[in-house]
Amino acid sequence: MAAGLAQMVAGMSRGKKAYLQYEAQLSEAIASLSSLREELKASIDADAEAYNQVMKAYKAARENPEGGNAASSGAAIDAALKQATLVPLAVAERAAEVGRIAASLGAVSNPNMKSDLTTAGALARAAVEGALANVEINLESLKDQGFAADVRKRAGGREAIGRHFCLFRGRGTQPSTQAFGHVPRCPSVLTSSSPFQRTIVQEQVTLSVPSASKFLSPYKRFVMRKFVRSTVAFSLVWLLAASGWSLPMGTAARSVVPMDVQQIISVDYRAVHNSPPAMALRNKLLPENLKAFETALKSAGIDPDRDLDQLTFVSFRVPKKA
Amino acid sequence: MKIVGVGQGPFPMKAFLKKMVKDKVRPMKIRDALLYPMGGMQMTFLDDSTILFGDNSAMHGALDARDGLAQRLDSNPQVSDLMSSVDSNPIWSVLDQEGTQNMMRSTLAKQPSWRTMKL
Repeated sequence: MAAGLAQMVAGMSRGKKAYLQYEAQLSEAIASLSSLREELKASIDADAEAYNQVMKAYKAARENPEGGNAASSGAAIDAALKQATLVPLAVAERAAEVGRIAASLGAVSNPNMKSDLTTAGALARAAVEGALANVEINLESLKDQGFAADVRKRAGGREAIGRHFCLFRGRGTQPSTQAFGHVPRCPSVLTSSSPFQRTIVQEQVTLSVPSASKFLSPYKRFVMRKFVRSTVAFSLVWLLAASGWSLPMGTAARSVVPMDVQQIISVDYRAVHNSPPAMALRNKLLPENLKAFETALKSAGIDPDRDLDQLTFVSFRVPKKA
Repeated sequence: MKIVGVGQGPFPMKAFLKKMVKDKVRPMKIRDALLYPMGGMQMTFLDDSTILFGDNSAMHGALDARDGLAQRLDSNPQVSDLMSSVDSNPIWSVLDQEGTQNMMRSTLAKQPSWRTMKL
């Protein structure tokens, strides 16, 4: 979301007369943010898979405490934990990069979109902190201290960068381009009073309480993480619903769009679904073949009203064959 | 001109595939993509959260792009740059030059003054 917001700001400034001198910088930012956004989206599945592997390793060790080889169980848990550490570490690094780019856009984009950059900075910082908290909680359970030391060293740099995103909060000032100057850690969204920001604060507090986690077994810590993840996901959905900000086309969707495209129409189906006039219009205008398709989908177990988030139509030319 | 639709969401892919097997629906294969007949159209899963649908020839065109047999959107900076500036909105559309001309023609053709003009 941070990448999407920053990309939007860059996209809406690029090509405008006032920012022509920054064209190259804006284009570079758009390209980098687009790629980071896709990589971060892919990390969602990678993180879920790494988490599942850790759960599996703990389960196998629990179910076979004496019969199996304790050393191999421990190694399997360690291997799964290492992977579960590297995924959020990569997320922290990418989120830090998003924050860095968002910071650099402050001086070269439309100042009327300053609040979007502030939000992007806050979200990137939250992502860095959340991801690093996940890294730390996994390191606590790891036996390989050499690996843990290496990761902590790598994470230290990201944490330092994440701390400086608070410069974006504004307080009536222009977003600073000195994002990497040495400033003391500030409370960022902790001072906010909006409901969404309070929720994020709650997540940060939950995620960064190492003392509580020390009383729990590694297995219970993972169950707790699952709960925290669900709450974070809920908060993000709340933000999406409230802001009307839509998710862009995914990688798989973009991959099927041929070069000879003539038109693309995309609809955030959730937003449309929540609007009775839009739904009435949709029912009136939906062509018969799409109605038949929708009915067939429903009979096959896919209900667009329940399962569809985004709908995109692509018209394209097909080269004539000789 | 071909048209395909792409749906994104948390689709119950496994349940869908089970149902297809149970109902003995035989998919058509285009390389590694399995196309299921669905209400007069074809549909396939691009991944577990993305479906592609359309008529047979349109599906071929889209899957050719995905599989690298035809050039993709990335090779069209005109449209992909337009997309990046609007694709975070709830509803958006982008047109290339020819699409814009077609749309203007179809819109203006409804105006009496346009119909009487000879270009």
